[in-house]
Amino acid sequence: MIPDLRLGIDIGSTTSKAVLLDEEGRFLHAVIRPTGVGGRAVAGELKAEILKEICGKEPASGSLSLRVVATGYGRALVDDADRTVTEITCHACGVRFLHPDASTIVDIGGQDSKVIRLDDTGRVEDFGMNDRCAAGTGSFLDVMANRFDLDVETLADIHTLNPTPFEISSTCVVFAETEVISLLSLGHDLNDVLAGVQRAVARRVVTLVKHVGLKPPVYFSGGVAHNETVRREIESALEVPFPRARRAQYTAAFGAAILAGD
Amino acid sequence: MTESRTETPRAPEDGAIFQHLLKSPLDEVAYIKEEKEKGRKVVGIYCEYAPREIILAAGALATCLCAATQEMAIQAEADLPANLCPIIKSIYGFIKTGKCPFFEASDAIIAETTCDGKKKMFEMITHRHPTFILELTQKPHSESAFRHWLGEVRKMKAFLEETFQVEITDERLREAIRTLNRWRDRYLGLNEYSRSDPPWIRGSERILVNQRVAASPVESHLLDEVYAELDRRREAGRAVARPGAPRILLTGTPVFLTVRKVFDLIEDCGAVVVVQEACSGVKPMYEKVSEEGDPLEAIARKYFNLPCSCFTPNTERFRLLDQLVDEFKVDAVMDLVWLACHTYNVESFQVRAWARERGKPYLKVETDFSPSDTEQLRTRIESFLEMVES
Repeated sequence: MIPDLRLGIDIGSTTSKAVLLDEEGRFLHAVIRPTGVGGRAVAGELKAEILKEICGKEPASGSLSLRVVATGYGRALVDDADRTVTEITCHACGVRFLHPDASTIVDIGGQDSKVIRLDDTGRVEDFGMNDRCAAGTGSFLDVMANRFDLDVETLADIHTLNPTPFEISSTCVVFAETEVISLLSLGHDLNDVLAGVQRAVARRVVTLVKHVGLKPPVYFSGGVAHNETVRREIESALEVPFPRARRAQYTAAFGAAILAGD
Repeated sequence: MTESRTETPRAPEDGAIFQHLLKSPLDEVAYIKEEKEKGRKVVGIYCEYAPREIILAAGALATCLCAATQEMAIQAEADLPANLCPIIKSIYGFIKTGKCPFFEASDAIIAETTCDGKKKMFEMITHRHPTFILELTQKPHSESAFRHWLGEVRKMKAFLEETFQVEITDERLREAIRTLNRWRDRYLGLNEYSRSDPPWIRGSERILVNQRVAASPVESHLLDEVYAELDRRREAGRAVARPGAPRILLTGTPVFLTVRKVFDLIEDCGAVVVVQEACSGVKPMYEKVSEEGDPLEAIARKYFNLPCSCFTPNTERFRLLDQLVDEFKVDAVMDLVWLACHTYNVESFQVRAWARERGKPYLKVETDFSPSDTEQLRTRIESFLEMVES
């Protein structure tokens, strides 16, 4: 029998993800790789890796039937996709599948942040994207971590007990860096300043949530969802529980795989 | 659930007439040159507030000046702030570099105080040609504001009379009013082809017609050819969008032939812009000049009533939007705001609220003339259309 598998591929700005579901939509496997500069090559690598994992070896051509939906900024680079769907629709579909009660999704990826509001049936009701300003994205945190020779995980562990923490007011990565250096030159504690950097990301996203309109329950997806400091900052500003979605980095790939079954 | 829109082929502007319009600025330049050789004066205009009837009654040609390329916006940044509306930067860049043939051919310029940036930029270029700056008032429901505007229009008439040594009689004004009213009617005949389901003309083609025909001095035979092409399509059943394609109303700041990215993205993604409300769309066409009473006052009234975001409150814009949503059976509303256009940017809040009240999905797009965000915009627009169709 030829299995009828569903593959969702999400070529993001920083990382690319693939999720494989079986013919009944049950989860089989997920893989992730840095996108680097070659979205087209990465799509092929993800597909080979995930199929090898499932089949135990490279599957012979024609031995399985695979339906592929591509999403993410590089969706057009996935040569053998049956169709492409934007990440907004895919996140909505993926998060709703993983969390059927989800009414709002906040996704912070490498290159942009998104807020998606769903109606009662799970359809996208409205959404907002921040894609022109790097503050409010994972890249902003990467740049800041690099500047101080930290990795992003360490950065995420930096909380501050300072009762009057800093706010980095600049909305541009380059100027925020200048601002951080100015604060340090005034003798402020590095941890306090870096906590302020993460608060800045949270602030940008909270503004976007308020613009789109918050409808709880709200879930957090994307790579930055693993940053506990940012998550808590957003949660305290929104004043509602703000849990990280299951498979937070894979939600769009998950949605794409589900849509491959339609 | 959703169709892949990247697979929807983008039909080029087929039909010889649209191909011709795509490259026709050359024709316009040649035409202006010919007319100038015959002794005709040319008046450059930048905004729909410039009363064309008075220019026509002065025996002159009104020509729209170049205002939109990224290259010219960059050129302007040597003298102007970078965070200024790209239209203002571009206008200045064209003039500074001498690259706008229409400006170079102009004998006089009619400018206006539509916004602070434009007003101050015009101060930097008035030395090039005799220039009259119309002072726009800001309160559309104020009679004293209208009286002031009427005074400005009267002074503009005197400026043209003085500059060109002509007399603009009431009779000539009445004739110009009739001519341009007929012209608006003829242009609005295109609506029939956009209102229909399916539509027979794409929004991107209407941009061509707006800017190459409605805005240019060489007009009537081109419009005949446009209608002939549209009739051929209708007879052959060649619709410009697939059945059920989302019908978009585009509002906000003006769109230019040279910067069509938002338009092209919408239509590349399989939707069709059935009507554009902006000043580059139907807004300046819907109200005609009254053919009764004092002609100068009638002209002033028509232009005073144009619902631009520089007016407060701009209630008439929402009345027009209401009318267009029904008339064109609109599925969704998109709002284009050029970066740093503060009045349209702020007014978007009300447009969003209005769209919500009308139950129409709404997407605001804020961008400039640079192509750098095209792919981000594509994702946003494609997502929006997936939402509209789900």
